[in-house]
Amino acid sequence: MKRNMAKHSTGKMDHAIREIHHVDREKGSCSRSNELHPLAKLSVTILYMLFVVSVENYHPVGLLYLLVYPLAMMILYDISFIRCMKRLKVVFFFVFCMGIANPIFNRIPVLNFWGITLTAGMLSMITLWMKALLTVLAGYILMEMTTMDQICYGLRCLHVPAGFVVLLSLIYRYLILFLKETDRMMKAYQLRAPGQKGVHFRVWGSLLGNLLLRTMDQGQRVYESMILRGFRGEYYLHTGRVSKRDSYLFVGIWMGIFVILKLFPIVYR
Amino acid sequence: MARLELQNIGFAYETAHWVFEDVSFSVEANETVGIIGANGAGKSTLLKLIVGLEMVNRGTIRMDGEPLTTKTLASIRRKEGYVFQDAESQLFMGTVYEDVAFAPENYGVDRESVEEQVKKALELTGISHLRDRHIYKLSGGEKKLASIATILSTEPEMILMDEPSVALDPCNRDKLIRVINGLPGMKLLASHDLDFIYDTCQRTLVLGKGGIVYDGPTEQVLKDRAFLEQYGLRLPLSFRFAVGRDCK
Ligand SMILES: Nc1ncnc2c1ncn2[C@@H]1O[C@H](COP(=O)(O)OP(=O)(O)OP(=O)(O)O)[C@@H](O)[C@H]1O
Ligand SMILES: [Mg+2]
Repeated sequence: MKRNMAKHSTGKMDHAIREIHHVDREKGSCSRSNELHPLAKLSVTILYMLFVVSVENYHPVGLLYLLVYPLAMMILYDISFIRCMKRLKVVFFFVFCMGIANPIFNRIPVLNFWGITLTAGMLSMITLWMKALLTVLAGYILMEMTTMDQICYGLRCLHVPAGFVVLLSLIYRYLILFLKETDRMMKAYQLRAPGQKGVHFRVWGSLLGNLLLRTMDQGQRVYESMILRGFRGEYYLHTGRVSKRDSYLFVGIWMGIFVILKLFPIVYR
Repeated sequence: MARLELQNIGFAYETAHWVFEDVSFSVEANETVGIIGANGAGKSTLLKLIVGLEMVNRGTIRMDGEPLTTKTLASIRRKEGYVFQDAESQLFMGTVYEDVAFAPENYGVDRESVEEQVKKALELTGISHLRDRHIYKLSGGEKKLASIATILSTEPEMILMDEPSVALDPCNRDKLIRVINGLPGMKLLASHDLDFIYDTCQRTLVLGKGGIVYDGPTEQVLKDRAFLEQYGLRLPLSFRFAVGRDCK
């Protein structure tokens, strides 16, 4: 039983690694989203985020319309809503904690809904939640459709400074290494401490220290491997099947929808 | 064509602990040189110095007469292909294809030629069927072959491999020997696998404390049991069990 629990926790780690790679894998092979230029996907995402952020602070209803983007994308590109919720639950928890204090500080009543008084604080809390939720969703959808390298390629197309982009991709690689290394160490530990639940607190220090050192070492070597193979902060387009027409259409249609939603805020005025 | 020259090299990771005190040798283009020595003798360090991952404290390294400095590093590295001792850190992209294509892409090769070079490298190492597989899902030996393919795709003038035969099954090991023997250019192979060295290198360097203790024909040193044992090595199997081969 105890051993099973130990097995379970390394299983979790392994799952995390597979998950983070899996994200990459899917885009590599299947899905139509491959035919879109990474820059198209990236710019629509950024544009969408800008639209979300620009909605006024006390208009949660105005944000409802913007739900159209994540929903449509999930349906169009076969992105599982349930899996998304499962993966992002931690993020959602943080989002939830974020605005929770607003209603306490701002108690000016603004609306009366069938006897329930809504304060400005409540409204701003709900708006904040929704904004965070929508931007996170948009980011998730982008990650689901594009590999990290292709996102970096898109960022470079947008003239984001090379240093920043390289840093981003290195952090991502470092995260993978960190997970792999943790997985390996936990397995090694559990093989030599069978029947133990979790990790004994006395070895936490050395385990963690070792983990950091080993990941840093590995990170250094990966970086060296990149440098030795001519890496100078540039990224390249991988998929050979990019359709220019579809990419332009994709950007054009979404931009049109966003602008219409912005210009004609039908209900919430 | 490439010619490598090391002149009075001194190197230490930590002050006062010299890995190399005074090392000199040169390698001609088209020469294949084995580097052997006990654990910690400095094989990996020597290769790292040559690709400029570590910089020498004393002496100079020249490639085609050009000294290796931070200024010339990029142009010299362009000619070199280095296979890490541990394949895990060499591979970092998503799929095998992306990883093998990484170097030619960075060197500005156009898309079609990249495809072609990757195809060739994968065929040479016999892993064409793994082209779209994820790195994470490869076995140890497959990772090794993939990491070798990543440097073959740039057709380097000089190949440096750190323990290339580790993790390979006998069949893939034989294949690698054939691949290496078929490749043009200069090759430096660091390994504990003395049979592998015997099958690929005409010349061998033995590293002992502080530097090179032997530089000469491979066959001669690999037969010398007493000498090998003095430096923490053993006779290769080909000689241990060979009948009629005269070992000292
Ligand atoms: N990053 C480092 N910092 C400090 N010392 C190091 C470092 N890397 C290696 N050394 C030391 O330098 C010496 C040579 O190491 P090197 O890795 O070159 O040996 P090697 O011959 O490749 O050994 P192996 O056969 O085990 O791979 C060793 O004594 C090692 O402890
Ligand atoms: Mg070594």
